[in-house]
Amino acid sequence: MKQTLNKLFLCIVLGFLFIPLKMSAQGKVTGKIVDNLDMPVPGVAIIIEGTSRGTTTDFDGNFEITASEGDVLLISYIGFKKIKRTVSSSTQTMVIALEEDAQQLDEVVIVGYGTLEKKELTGSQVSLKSEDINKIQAVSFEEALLGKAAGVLITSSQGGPGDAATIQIRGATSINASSAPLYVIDGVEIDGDAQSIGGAAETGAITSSSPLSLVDPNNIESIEILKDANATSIYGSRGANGVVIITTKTGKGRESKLSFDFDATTGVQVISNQLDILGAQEFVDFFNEAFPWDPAFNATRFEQLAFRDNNGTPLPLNAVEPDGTRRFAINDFRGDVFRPGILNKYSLSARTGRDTSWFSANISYTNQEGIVTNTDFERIQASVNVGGNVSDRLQVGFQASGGRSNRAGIINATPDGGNRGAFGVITNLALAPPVQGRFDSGRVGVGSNNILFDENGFIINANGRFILNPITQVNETVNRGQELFGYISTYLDYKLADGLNLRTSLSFNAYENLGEVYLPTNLDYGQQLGIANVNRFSQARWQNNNTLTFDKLYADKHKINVVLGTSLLSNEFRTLSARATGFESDEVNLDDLSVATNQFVDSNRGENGLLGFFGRLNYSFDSRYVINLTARTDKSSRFFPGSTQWGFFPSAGFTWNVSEESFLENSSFLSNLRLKASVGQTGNDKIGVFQSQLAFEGSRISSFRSGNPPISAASVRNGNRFNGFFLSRVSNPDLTWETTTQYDIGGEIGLFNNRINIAADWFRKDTEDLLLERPTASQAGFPFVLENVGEVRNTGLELSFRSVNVSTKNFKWSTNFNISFIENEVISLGGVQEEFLVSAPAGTGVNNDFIVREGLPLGYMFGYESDGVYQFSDFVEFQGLSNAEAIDLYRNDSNTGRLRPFGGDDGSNIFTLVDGVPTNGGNNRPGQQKLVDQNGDGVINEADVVVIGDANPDHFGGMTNSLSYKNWDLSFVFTWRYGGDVYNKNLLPGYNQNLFTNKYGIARERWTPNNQDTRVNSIRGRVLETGIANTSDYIEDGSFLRLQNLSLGYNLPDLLTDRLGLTRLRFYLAADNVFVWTNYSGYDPDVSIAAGTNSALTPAVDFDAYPRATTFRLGIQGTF
Amino acid sequence: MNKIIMILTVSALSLTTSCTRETLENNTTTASFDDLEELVSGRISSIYASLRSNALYRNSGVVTMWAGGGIDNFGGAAFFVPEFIPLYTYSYGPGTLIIEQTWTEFYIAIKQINTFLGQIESFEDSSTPDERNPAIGEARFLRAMLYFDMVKIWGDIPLAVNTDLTLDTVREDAGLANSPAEEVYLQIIEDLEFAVQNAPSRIGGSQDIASREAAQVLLGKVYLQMTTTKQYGGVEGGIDSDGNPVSVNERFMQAEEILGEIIASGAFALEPNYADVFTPENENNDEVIFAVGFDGPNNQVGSDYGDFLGRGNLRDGGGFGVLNLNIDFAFEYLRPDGITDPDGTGETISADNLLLAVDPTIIDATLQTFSIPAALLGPNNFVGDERWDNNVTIRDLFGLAPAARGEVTLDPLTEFNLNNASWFNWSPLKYVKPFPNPNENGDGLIDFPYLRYAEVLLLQAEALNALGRTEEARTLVNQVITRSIKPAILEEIPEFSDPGDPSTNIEYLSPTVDSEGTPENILTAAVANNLVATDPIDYLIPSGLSQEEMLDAILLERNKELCFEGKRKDDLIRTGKLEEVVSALHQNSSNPGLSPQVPVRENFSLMMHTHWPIPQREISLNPNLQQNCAFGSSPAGCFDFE
Repeated sequence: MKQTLNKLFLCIVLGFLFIPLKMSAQGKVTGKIVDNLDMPVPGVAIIIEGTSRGTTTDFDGNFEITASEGDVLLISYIGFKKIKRTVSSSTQTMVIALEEDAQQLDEVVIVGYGTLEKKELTGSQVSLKSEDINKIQAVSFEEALLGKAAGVLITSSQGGPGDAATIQIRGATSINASSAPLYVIDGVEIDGDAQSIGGAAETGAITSSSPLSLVDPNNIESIEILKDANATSIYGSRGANGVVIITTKTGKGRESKLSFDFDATTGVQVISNQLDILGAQEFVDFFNEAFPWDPAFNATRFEQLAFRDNNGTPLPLNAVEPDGTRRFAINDFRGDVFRPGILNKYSLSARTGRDTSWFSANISYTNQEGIVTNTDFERIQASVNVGGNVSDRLQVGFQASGGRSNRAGIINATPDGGNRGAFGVITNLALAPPVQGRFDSGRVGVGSNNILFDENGFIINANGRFILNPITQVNETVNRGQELFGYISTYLDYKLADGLNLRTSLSFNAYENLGEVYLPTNLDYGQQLGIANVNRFSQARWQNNNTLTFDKLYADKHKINVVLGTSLLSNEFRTLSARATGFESDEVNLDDLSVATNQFVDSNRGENGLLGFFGRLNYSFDSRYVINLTARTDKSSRFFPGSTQWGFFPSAGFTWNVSEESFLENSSFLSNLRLKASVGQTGNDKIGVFQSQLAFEGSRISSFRSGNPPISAASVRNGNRFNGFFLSRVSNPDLTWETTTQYDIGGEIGLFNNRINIAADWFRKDTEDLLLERPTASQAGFPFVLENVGEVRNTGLELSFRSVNVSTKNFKWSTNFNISFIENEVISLGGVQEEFLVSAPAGTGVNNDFIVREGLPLGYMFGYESDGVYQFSDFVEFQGLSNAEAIDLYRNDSNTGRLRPFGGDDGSNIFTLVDGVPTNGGNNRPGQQKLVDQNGDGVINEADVVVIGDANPDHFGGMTNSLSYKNWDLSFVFTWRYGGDVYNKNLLPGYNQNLFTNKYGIARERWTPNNQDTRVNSIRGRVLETGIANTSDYIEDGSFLRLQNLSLGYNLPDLLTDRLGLTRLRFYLAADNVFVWTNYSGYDPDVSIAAGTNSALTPAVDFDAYPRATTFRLGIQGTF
Repeated sequence: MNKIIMILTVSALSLTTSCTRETLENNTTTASFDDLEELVSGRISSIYASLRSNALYRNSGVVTMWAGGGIDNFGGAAFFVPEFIPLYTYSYGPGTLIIEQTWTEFYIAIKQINTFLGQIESFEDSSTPDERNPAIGEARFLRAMLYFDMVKIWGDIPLAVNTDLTLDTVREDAGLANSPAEEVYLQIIEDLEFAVQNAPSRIGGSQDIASREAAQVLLGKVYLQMTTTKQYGGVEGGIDSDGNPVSVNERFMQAEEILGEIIASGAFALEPNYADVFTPENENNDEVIFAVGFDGPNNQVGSDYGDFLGRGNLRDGGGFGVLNLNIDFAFEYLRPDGITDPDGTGETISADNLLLAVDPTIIDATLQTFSIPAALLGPNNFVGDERWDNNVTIRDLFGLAPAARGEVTLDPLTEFNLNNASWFNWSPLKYVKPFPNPNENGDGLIDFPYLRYAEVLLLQAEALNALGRTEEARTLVNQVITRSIKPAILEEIPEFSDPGDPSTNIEYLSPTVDSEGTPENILTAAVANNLVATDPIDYLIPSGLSQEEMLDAILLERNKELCFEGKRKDDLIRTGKLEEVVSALHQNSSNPGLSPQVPVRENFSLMMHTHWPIPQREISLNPNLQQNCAFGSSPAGCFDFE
């Protein structure tokens, strides 16, 4: 593969070397640019004011430029103040010293459909440059962004290779629609929702992938995160969740020097944390306690004899058979399934060009082995960017980018959570019994058929067992995903007059994924003799933007920037899914579904369009006062034809650059002070297509119990099948946008020549007219009607702090710190209902575990509050008994004289509760889980279910420290989240279900007559009687502080690089997810298996999630 | 410059065209039903499909939760299904989720019918009544069927019949108040009378299409159900279309007349073999008048009959065995055989002592199952009623279903297991999947029989008996019984000598780890050589019963004949026997889930439990909706049955 790639690089590079790039040379002004430490600075741009002529300095900081006397040279370089120098003599040699500017206000930043100077900004936006993200050489975009921007919460879904993360800017705004931001990659607008790949109800999808896998972080020039309405209202109906503008590197301004950047990393990933589970002997002890030896009671014989000899004497784990072979197979499956994974990443880019023509190409290849056997991720991605000035009026640009990723995964985070025995691998790993007992071979009745053993003597799967053999499962289940993505965009920029430009752009982008899942026959999932799924999703979009930009400075004081534009977008998607069950053999499955007994196919198509007109007026007076008015109007095909199709999204912002005022001009310590305020409206268009139209459908979801298959509208009449159509919706001409009104007040202050920068923003986002399924009396034929009702509010405070702590010639140290406090609240659900319940998407045996309630934030967990366990003292029968008598009464069945199975918890014990102790409605007994009787009626039932957890963190943030000493550089990134709960749903199978599985370490603390002082229920003491509901036992504090990244780099001295013919060469060592400080008992508290549009409703659920890896990488990067 | 302007113009043009484009999504059609035929095939199919909802006639809502929950057919769920428990234990209330969901599913189905009737009106100009009316007849039969089941379950319900397809209608219907049950019945009768005149005929037709004969039978059944007393929440005859009260006797006469027509027509007959009524290969038989059609595999119109009303391996045609059998019900089949009457006195045994009173050599009261010898010999050999074999299974075995169909032979020596035979594991077994079973779970092809001729005979017997014609009734009931009498049975556990050592008798032994069981050839011979011919007199209803005794006999036969067909609770309410039956339930007869075992009769109250409450969700969403007074009141007040 590597060889092929090398060839590919060569071809691409050679192919483009021949693009002619002319240079002119005339009479010169020469000079040298140095920094404040007198070191020459290469790559500094020098332009003659009022012309497009310019140059850049070479590696020794020298430049030459044709200029005549009186010309003004504009000298600019990132991180330094802009300098103007008048040429006094055409043959002059100038030495110009740059002055460092930690906060460069003249810097031009990218905003929606244009650029503005930083001090002209009125909206709230975070700018990240390539230096900010490239130091850590992140493998993915999300990792590059972690902890870098205030107000941006990045939550990992799981820890697998290529798994997507959710990026949420300033809180969740919607209940039914997505809260993902809009991404604009080099002008191409892309939905931020992660796509799931393949899968069906019983198999689950591969964890969805982020649309940002399009972009190689190495190739990013800048990231702009637009947060408030004033910044995003130019995106109108798509602006409510914020906008992320990504600009990739071009070859612009390199003065025709062709340079190559390369980066090669290799690393190893290891599991960061192991779970505490019972060991082999502990498991046997647990099992023997559950099934006490009672020769008289042969009903449970096979269980009693699992780890005992025929006389009932417990056997040691190393017992041998008469023939000398070991009686019990013992294994810790984790050793077979977890592995160190190798990570390789290579990228190469070529750039050349100057201000009038440029070219760049980039290719990157990532190959990542997951820490679970057979999980792999491979991605290849490439892009080309060419452009230039056709004339001094017309500029043309062209860009293409594309790639492909392949993934091999395991089945995990399955939605049905074991209802059909299809637990994911991660759960099976923990719960597969570490000892193979004798009982399964001796079973009769349920589970006696089809028992298969692997070569180690462990059962592969017995019908009726919930836990599968993880080794077999990892090796024989197939869960593959392939993604293909690409976009092409082109633009023309025409200078109509001085300061007036017309730009028109056209882009196409396509995305396709293919998911393939196979569950083999020997694991006997759902007794279906093999299940295969092949699903394809494809999407094609095109977009046309036209903007007219007017940018002019009048009388040195009045700067006007006006943008007027149109945008047109069309999107089409198709899905095709095929499912087959019942295979004679596992050999032919995914490659030929026709050999299966049952086959099902389905397809789907959707199409939508958006038309927008927008405008922005930015007026700056003397750089002191800036006023911004922005508005957009959008028409969407999603709504009923008529006036409601149109939405209008205005905003206004004001900035006061206080430090530009004359009274502060000479302040010695205050180098920058800005205050700003804005208000505006934006929309959210991420609601399904055509929800406002009359619709008939071929099937419908029954409202009767969850998890039933859809009802097909087809019927058989007289032996012939007729397809039918359910009325699924009547038209709703009133349906319209969700609208978010956002207020933002902020400011920033720079001290001591901007060595210290502090910025603060307060915001409030009110999202109204939520598209909610409003409950309707079902007698109307619809239990819900989609209407615009409800309101969600996000209020927050963002603080960021940047400082250059030390800056000497050899040693530099800077710190970036940010913290965000965001509060979310559901203000209204439309007046009809005050709350509704939502189920987490996996482990569906327990459902309705989240609540959306007026007055509470989204992401509240719902269930019973645990009150420990019932004790002997809670029951009449045990009053006055000694402990020994009580134990005797509890453990022995007085009717039969037998020992009760399950340590006394066999369910036949019936005791009477002391007055005042609430009953769970069933047979109460000591050791049983005890729940809080919230309403005090003496009975635990649905009325006692309360809010038990809150996934929303109190605050979150990050801190990055960058240090450099001579040729060495070091950076470390911390991220944290404080106060959010995690719903550890793993504890349900991990302790409370199925006795034949291994248990989590918590089982050691279980109530037994000899261990009464505990809050953990006895072997079978989970209260099933009151309904399967979440309890507060599963809610854990998810606060964490993580050393997310540690990077150490060494730059080869110039002397050596010169000798090697290189411009730059850096070696680095990096470690990701180095350490986590947390009290969470699962693998990692940064987890949220919910994916898709309403994932904001069920965040922070950990069930069967892929564990997080710690990665150590060694890399080399250079330029030649 | 020109070029640029052109680009802009092109863009502007494409703006306007693309945003008005019609689009489709999600297999949705904006439903241009161009002609009548398209409308009928597309929309009528969806109406029948609505019946396949789990809440209605699939396996849960009406069939087992309403009609079977908390009475004597089922003993609760073997698997833990928490939502079902309140229905078994009479601890349900307006907030019970399953009740609300069932209500919703009914109205979603009714909406499909109402809007279809509206859509078909739009073809008035382009088609003749003869072209439209058969389809309208079918739709109105189905609406009557749904409202009939609703009015039985809830009493006074909102009567939504508006046929418009607009959001305004949805909003209007959402505010409808309850209609008195009497008026709901008027609508049902009106719809059925239309269907009797216009629906297609069952004769030469298909069992899964609503027919005029089905409408006649249902109308007869509606008349009978309308005789339910006020005490049992009935309408006691109801009203006629002018609003005048109709006497109960008049309803019995109406029922007798219309059911009599069906019987006299000779169009239907009992299948010779009880089991054949339910088999997919024979589904269009002469006995089934209307069935909710299910067909599989592989076209998503399948059922899960066979999955849930029976135990065993899914692939082999059995199911998860979600529902347990009520032991009192199983014993009903044993009564005429004398097993529960060991001393032959014929005295009724009190329910509490049932276990101790049965023949201890055959039934082991301690193990709560058949004794080992009886179980090894096959319990079915001791019972003279074929319906027992088809409706009750006592083993929880893989491959059970094929064995029940006689396709494989169970080897009792390896299959028998005490742990599985206890009557907590006795299961309903009516709908048996084919073997080998090609169908996925939920994709079976067994129909749900909604109206069949055996019931017509029993309904007519009930009407005749009510009208004092008890002897005529007896003939009809015996006609049903006769079909299922076996020619011969075992009367006792035979003694059998050991072939190897003729001097010793065989001990019937179940196999364990330590001992081998009795060889199968001995068991087979023991059965074959000891069968005794049955005398039909022992099984048939004798003459001379009083009207009251005859009603009890009819009800008993209905239970044995029609169990698991969604009838039992309605029968007990109609005949005023619900309270009696529930309070006679044996304390072990309810086993909702693994634990707790809450005796249902403790919570039962006649006033509250002849109906389900109006769901709380509906009350809070519709300010005009009244609650059933037994469950409190709503802002709009409450309705009661006095």
